[in-house]
Amino acid sequence: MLSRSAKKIYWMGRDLEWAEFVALYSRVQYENLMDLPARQSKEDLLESILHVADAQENYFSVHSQLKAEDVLTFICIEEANPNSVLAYVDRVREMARGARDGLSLELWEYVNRFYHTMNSYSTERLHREGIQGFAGAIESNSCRIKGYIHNNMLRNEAWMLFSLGMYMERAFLITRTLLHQMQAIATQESSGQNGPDESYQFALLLGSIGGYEMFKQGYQKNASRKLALDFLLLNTEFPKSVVHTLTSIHTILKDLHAARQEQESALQSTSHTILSQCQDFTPGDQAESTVDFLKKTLANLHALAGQLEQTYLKF
Amino acid sequence: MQHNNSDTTNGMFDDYSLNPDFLDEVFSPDGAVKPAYAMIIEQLSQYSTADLAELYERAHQAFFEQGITFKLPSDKPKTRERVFPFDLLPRLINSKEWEKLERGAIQRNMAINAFIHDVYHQKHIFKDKLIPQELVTNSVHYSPAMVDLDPPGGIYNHISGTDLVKHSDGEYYILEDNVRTPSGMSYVLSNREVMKRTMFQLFGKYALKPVKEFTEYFLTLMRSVAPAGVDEPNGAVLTDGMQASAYFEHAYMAHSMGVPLVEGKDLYVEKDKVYMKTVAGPKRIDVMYRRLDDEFLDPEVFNADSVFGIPGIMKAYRKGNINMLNAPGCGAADDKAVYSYVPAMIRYYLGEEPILNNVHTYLCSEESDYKYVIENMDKLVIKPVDEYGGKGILVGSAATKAELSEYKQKIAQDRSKYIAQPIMSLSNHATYIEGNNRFEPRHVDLRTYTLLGKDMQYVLQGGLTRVALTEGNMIVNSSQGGGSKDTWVLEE
Repeated sequence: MLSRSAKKIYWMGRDLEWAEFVALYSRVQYENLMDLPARQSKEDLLESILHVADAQENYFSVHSQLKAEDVLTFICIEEANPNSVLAYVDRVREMARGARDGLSLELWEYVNRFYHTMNSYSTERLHREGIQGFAGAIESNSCRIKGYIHNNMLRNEAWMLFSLGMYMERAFLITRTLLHQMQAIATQESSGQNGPDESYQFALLLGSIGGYEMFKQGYQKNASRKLALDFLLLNTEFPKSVVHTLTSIHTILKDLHAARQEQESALQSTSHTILSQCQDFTPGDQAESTVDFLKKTLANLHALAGQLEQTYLKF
Repeated sequence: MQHNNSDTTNGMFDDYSLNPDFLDEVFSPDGAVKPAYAMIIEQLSQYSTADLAELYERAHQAFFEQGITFKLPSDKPKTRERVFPFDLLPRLINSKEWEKLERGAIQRNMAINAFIHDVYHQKHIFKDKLIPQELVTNSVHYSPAMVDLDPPGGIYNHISGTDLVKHSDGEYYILEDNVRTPSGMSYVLSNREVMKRTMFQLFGKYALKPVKEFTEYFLTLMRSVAPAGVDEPNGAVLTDGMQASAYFEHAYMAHSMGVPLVEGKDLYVEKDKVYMKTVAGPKRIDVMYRRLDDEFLDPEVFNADSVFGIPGIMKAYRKGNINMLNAPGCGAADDKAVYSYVPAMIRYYLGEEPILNNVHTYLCSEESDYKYVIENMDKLVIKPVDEYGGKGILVGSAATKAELSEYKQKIAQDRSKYIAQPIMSLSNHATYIEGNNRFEPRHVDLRTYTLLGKDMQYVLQGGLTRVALTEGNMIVNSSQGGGSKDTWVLEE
């Protein structure tokens, strides 16, 4: 496969994962806002949406206050926000358009239909239907596209690159989201303040990542910091955990490398090291140590992604 | 002359105006539906205006989802993309007519292939004074880089688009040949797909030839003209990028054949061999269907400023290490002045009489023709010899005095750049006009696509019917607001 097409398919996987993740996260957080317990901060919740969507700076350059409706519009469709979910959907389509020869006609039509469906949303429609309609359409279209890829695509380079992009972005998003939450807890710990109900916050986090029910099935316990971290970082069965995601990346890199018929590459070695470091981590009682670990993981992921681009996607 | 045929339809053909100066493909001069179209009209008569509007919306959506869309340069970034107009009433061609068109298109393009080879080799046709040499060698599309170059398989115009019109005498006439990078075949295939999604009930009532096999024949063609000694050739489609107006077609062709869609920056030449940069390392390319104009192909040979091209590819081509479809320099044969000599080429190279008619062409470079053109501009269509897409055409009967006068000056400044032809009576075909909620006659033409490979010839079993959507307009090009129809070639 052409390196240029490979790069587009890789980023198509990343951008699709991003759009789905942010849509789901925002929907669940926003729904929660409607009956938020009094002890929880509405502003914290809106800020966490902006943080996950990497939109804080841009939002405050346009708005002076945190208002739920403004945040919703900004995250979903605001043209002034280059990281809006809609902007990511546009990018998914552009990436697919640039790699048409590596995709089937049906898959292209799914992506194209997705693009047109989402671009039919105006601010008025978004407010009329609420985030449920918009995010629901993102989630279902993303699942349809991924389902098509899973069921129909040859396990060739195109499939591997799409999957690598999807897992890489997932690893970034989960790590960043956890880091944001743990940094807030560490700040409270260091100032000796009593923070909001941690159990509630981790249950909400699990729900926002689409893992709450899986967590319940896996542990049959209520969410706690320790268990939620264990589930989201180390669980080998949950496909969104960092360890599961890194294992998938490592496996695909091995298969991708096999096509080159060379010795183990530096890239494989890096992915193996990062995976081992994660597997060896045990969440401690102090939030600070987890924050350090998550920061290091994030830096490692950046290094891995950069190495991957250098190795396979340069043209 | 007005014919009211609302008895046989749902009123959507009310006041359908039959113009006796033009052949109508759907209705007879007495207003009766022609037998071949009877079942289509019957089907349409079952629809209300609302039904039809819904069908058109469904067709529109189908094009939208396939990504067959465009934007105007003036459109804002968030403007909804536009869909090329498409009409749901298909154009029918009977098997006898088609068989003649098919034979004629193959004959014509084989003669053109022989001509291109001759032009770049022995030049017999010039020596025998059948065509003035300067007419060809002075053409902007003549390529000195092709002199004495032998492409693998001996084919130059692997794919040709032949534009025809059906005149009031019921005969098809060829208007022009497109042998550089003819476009539009993906629309033929997409139009059929959209018809299957919308007018599916009709397909059971007619036996028609499929169009889907085209890309399979194209792949066979590519493989047939691979460089000598390459048993399993690697093919590719070369595009000038996503910004190209025909990018959909480039991607469609690559995707349908399962070959990579490459840009110049994906390729490089090493030791006179062409390689792609792939995830698994360099990979050789043997045959390339290129949708990049000659001038951008190789900055070492053509336009030195080209950022789309591949430095050194012409050297690799000359060494026989890669084949390119179509060969550079083909444009020397699709000049509109050279067109008038194609019947002579057929007789000269093939020893046969032309099967299809040419339109009489006046060459402004010839003194007597020039005089006639200047005196009869209002009865002629005048065209620049080296433009395409309807650019620069003047339809004398529709031009104002000022336009005629201005055009006269243009011709006088460079007579060899212009030819003129009598205004052909492009046939009319019933076409749904959405704003008027009814079918009205509109002028149509036909582009056929011929493939020539090593020991193979094939004509796409349908062709692109283009329709001028403005009443009375005879310029059908999409760049001038034209639409298209699915073309059904009927089996016996």
